[in-house]
Amino acid sequence: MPHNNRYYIIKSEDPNLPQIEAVIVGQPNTQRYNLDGSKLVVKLHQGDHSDYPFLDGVQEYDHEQILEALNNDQWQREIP
Amino acid sequence: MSIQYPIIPIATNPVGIDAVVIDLQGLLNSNLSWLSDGLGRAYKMNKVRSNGAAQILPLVYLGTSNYTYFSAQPDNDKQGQNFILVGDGLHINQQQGFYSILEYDISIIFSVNLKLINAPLLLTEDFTQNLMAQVREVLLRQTLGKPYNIGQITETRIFGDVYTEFDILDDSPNTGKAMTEMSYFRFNFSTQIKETCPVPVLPSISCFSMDLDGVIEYIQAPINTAFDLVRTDSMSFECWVKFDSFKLIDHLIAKYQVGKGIVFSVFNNELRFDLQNNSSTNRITKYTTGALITTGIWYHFVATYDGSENASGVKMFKNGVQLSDGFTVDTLTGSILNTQNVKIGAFPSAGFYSNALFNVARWWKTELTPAEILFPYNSGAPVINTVRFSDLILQSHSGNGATWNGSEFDIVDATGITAGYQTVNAEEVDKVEICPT
Repeated sequence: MPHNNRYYIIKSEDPNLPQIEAVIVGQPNTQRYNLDGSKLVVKLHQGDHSDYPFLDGVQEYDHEQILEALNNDQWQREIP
Repeated sequence: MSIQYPIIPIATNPVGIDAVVIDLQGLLNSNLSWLSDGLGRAYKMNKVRSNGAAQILPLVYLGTSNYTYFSAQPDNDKQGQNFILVGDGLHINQQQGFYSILEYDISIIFSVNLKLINAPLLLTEDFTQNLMAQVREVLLRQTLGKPYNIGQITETRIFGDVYTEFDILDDSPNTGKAMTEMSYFRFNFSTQIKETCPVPVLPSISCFSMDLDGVIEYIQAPINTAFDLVRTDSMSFECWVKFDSFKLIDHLIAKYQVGKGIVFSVFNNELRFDLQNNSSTNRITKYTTGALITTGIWYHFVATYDGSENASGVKMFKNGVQLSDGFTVDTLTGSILNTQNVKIGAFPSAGFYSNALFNVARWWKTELTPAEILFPYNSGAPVINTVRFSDLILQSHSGNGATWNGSEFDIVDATGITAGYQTVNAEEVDKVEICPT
């Protein structure tokens, strides 16, 4: 099942966060943060990096890449 | 004459015995002035408890948005009630290349309140035979010229024979009503119809699932006390799901905060069920062994719990078959209650998001039997009419019942308990026309 949108990992204190939140899927209060709250992962409704200057310098991930990037203990708790 | 339940559905293109049943229902309703509740086919029987005794009752589908069944047991509030039973079918003169004649056993079962029909007459006589004669008139005369035949008819007025397929209590000794007001009778006959050829093709039904990305998307139910089951409550979970990839753990259905609550999940290619008060020291955790769950395949998963507070009370099923127990922790003594929403496909607080297609997801406040688990699996998916509807507390037809509201999908709560479920962080393209196979 293709998920073709572009994902980005943003720092929580990114000064461009209000602009970013205006173009991403979901609401500001439903976004996914890492376990220490220092980063969040967002998904663009449409377009990519080149459409949004405020994402300059932020790494872009496709679906497969973002799954891999989040599959670690920064983003997931240990399982008892 | 008025029919008390005008919402009884009429199929738009019934064939075979279904067409006969609908035709008979129409003839009886239009010819019997005393028939206030002329019901259709009794589709299933429901085992209930009344005053400590088990009863198996006839249920007739009414076709409402909640897939409601009406219990057609005798009721002295109803002037005249009937329903139709369809028994075994027999192929007669079956030859390849020729039409077959199909013969079915049919029974029509009546319960009437003679007082409501004609109270003055009841003071002097039991006029049940008069009513039966009118039914005979319909079956033998009004069906002339129909594309089906009515075979030899037998009749009975003995209560136990009238309801022989059911366990219905005759409460006349308690109420005294049956001796005077209530009367019961039944007609048994066979009907012969010509096989429909060519075999009709059912209209295709679109079937949608919700495609969760495993990154930020999930489905959530609103807070409701109906979901506040405790460790002594029995419960069951059902889920049709197809994984695109796995994490270490993938939540199916959960009402969970970190360390406390209920979780049905997939862990390391096995099913896992948790009831937790404390994720380290106070919990039931049970894994299956040999489940061999993999990606790219639709699965029908079920977990049941008997409310015993023991891990032995947990059973898990894959595609209708109970799986062997694996690693188990059995230390639960504390409360599992928490204030979290029920979530399908994720546990955001811990960063667990399932990358999978979700179709139907259900939660019952009862322990389903193996037969009740096998039924929806064997019926294919999505099965709209499920077992134990009265014990359902969550039923999400995750794709089929979803409409895009501009920012998320609103998903119908088929139980009617809540105003509905909703996706979180979804996109309109996440509703995909893919059905469990």
